[in-house]
Amino acid sequence: MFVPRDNKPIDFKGFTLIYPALSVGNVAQLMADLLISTMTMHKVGYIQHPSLIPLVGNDPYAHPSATTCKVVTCCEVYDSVEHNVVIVQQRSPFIKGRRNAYKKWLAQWIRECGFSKVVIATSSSADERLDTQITGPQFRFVASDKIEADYGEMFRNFYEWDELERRQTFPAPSVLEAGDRGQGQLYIPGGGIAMALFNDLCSDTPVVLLLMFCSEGDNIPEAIELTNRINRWLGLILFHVSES
Amino acid sequence: MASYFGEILQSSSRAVDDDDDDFETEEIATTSVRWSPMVKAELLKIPEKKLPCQILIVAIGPAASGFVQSHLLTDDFQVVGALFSGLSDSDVNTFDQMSPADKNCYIYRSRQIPDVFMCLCKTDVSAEQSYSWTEQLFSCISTASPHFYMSILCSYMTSEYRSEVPVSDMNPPFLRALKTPRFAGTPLCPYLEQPNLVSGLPAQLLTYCQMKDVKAVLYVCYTDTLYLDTFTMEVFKPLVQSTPIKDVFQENKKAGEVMKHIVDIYSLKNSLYL
Repeated sequence: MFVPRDNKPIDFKGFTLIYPALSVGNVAQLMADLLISTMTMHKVGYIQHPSLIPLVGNDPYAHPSATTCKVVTCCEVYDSVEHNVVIVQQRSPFIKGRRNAYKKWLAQWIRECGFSKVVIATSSSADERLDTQITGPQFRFVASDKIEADYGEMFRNFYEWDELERRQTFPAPSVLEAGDRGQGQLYIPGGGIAMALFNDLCSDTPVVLLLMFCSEGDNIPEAIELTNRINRWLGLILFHVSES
Repeated sequence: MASYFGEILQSSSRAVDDDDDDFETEEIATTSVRWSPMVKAELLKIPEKKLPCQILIVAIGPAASGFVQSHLLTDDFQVVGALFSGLSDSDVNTFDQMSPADKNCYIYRSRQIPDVFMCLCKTDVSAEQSYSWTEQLFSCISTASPHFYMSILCSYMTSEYRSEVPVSDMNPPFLRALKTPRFAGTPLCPYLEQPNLVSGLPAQLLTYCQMKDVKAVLYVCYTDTLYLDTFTMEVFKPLVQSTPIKDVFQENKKAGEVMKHIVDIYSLKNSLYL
């Protein structure tokens, strides 16, 4: 359940939700931390669910020389009224066999909140890429019908984003080629609950799934690229180009 | 992913376990709480159906439980309830809580000051059960009092402590603390530094207090001994001068004896050779 901080009721209607899924390399979670710390977002509540492994620690956004204590828990909700954005940051994995239960609750909660759009960020195992995915940008998107109608052309033509290729045969493609849109299945190995959550929401909620292919290691570069692309679209942080 | 020998290996992720899709457990192992007839009768008379509480001390793990058992749990305390996380045929349980493998967690209350509670949890409670364990504990204990204080004591191995300073330079065993914003005091030891985390039951209890916005402090003892010894238990000793333990502490001359007895009980299980 969502527990608002200080027990003040909160209205998220009209906000954009960025949900980082627990995925290979923790790329989406790194992206969320980068956004939360850069935009100095406020913690507005906690998510308590029996499917999450409990966790506490000291403030991850504190200055290195800080000597105070601000407890962080396993799943917290941050918002920025200025940017009209809500981020759910999860720091611990799911209890084995319980992630579907959490996904069902999360989809239900997202619907109840009335977000204007939902951005699911995730990553996918680089070692299961199709041949065509090995070269070129490692970023892909999957849009629901509503997002496709509003932003599809902008994604493809203006930002030159690539849509995630569908697999003709599943799970192991016999011919490593991409299928046409509308045929085949979407397959995101290592993506956590992102695909399942997207499928649950896409019929009635404007939702888009953004992913990076990566292998595990130092995944900061992938996180930065994912953040830059999300930022380019949502216009959260403006970069000033210095004139020299 | 191809290995050096040319075979294809399934790559594993530190973040996500894709095999999780393969099964979905319908049954979650849960914890249940039982209260003594005296407490049940009291609860019937209280409209909120929760016992008033000012101080709650939960000790998790052998070191913390050993410290509480020897220094704080005097004859003034009586068992008023217990939390059961499921016993299998191979599990041990003793009614006087003198086995290292006691799985059931007894809840004690002071006879003289009936809003002081203690709970000892000697063995691990799984992450899966931590949520329901916490729910069950607070099902009949109220945190509504403005003077409510909670203290959670637990222990970890130093191998799990991450810091730029080598652990051997830190003279284990040592304490670290985390507290909720409402807890106004300063803990007797440094705060737990980034990137260290506490998980499991202690984390779930502190999370509960954080969400309820009540005063709570968590003390973690980092020890490098595999087997319980008096040094590890004594690392908690300075806490008898800190809130809220100081309001419960009474000088106990038998503390040393009880600690030695507890160490003996654990060492019986730990010897492989004569």
